[in-house]
Amino acid sequence: MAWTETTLRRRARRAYELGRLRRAIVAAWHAVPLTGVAVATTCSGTGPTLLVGLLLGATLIACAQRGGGMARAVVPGLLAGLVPLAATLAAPALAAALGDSCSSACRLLSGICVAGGLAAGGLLAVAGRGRGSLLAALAIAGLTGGLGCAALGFAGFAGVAGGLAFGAAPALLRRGSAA
Amino acid sequence: MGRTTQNGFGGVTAADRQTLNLCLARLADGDRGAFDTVFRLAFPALRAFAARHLHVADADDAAQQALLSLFARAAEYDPSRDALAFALGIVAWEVRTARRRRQRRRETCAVPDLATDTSPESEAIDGQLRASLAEALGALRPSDAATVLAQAGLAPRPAVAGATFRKRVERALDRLRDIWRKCHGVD
Repeated sequence: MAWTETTLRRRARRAYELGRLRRAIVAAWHAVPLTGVAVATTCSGTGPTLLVGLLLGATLIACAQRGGGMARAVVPGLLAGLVPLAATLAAPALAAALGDSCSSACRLLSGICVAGGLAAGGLLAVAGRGRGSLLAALAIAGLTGGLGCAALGFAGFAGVAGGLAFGAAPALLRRGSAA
Repeated sequence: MGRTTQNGFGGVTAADRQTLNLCLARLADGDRGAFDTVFRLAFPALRAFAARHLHVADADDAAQQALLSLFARAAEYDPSRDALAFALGIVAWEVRTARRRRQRRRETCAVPDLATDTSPESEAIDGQLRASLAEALGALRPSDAATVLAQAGLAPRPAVAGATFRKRVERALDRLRDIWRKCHGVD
């Protein structure tokens, strides 16, 4: 072996990044059951939900790999995203209990997506710390909530994103002016 | 902090050790800015440890491999633990691996009689091992050290019953193993 210091330094840096990546991939396991539940309960095509699940997994990996504030944003982002996700997944059951059909429940989803996004954005605005970590948490919350709204296509996803942005806007503006 | 006592591992001072703790914790958190400091402080310590336990040709390889493992596992580092102990735990494993590799190589090369191997390399290894053992024996209580030496046939055996002596040997060897583990990180 006996590498020069430059080679050793380069290999050490690569080993560090690969080590972080391995841990980040393991840490992104949350995306699998969340996507599974969303796919199992969706009332339309599974394609958009799977795509959002894939994006959520990639975002979780990227945040954990980067580390620092972005890694610390993973848990708050996932927890906040569970609010719109749970609301949208419960919508068909709620509609059935009220005597509506699944399709009418899906029509109600748009409103639920926006309201869930607002609630999640508000939660993150209160709990979030730095601007970078808040943005990462918002992205994770948006994708987690988006798993339930993806059945509506772009409109559902935009509903969650809009709700989140609106809910977290005061905190984002405050941190933006402080920076 | 601020003490400049040497601990024997690549000239790492108490202040360096504190810095290593902080920088490895930063690296575990994802702060790439701490990379160079960890590299600068950890590598000499790893190399010194490996050189104490291996032949020089193997020591460099083991230290380099340990450094790569240290960085690969940096994200696992728990900041409440001592960074140097974390790093030495990794290099101790590499030392053990290197020894096993060397042992296998010797077996496959069918060296006729290891006891008569008087190459400078084996003499150096033997000398190092003897020095480490003497150091560990010196840290034992005198009665335990005498028991170990008596068991090895290097000191007169005390006039006690066989079972009593065996128990004393067992206890003394347990303590010797503990000291060896603390000093060298391996059994």
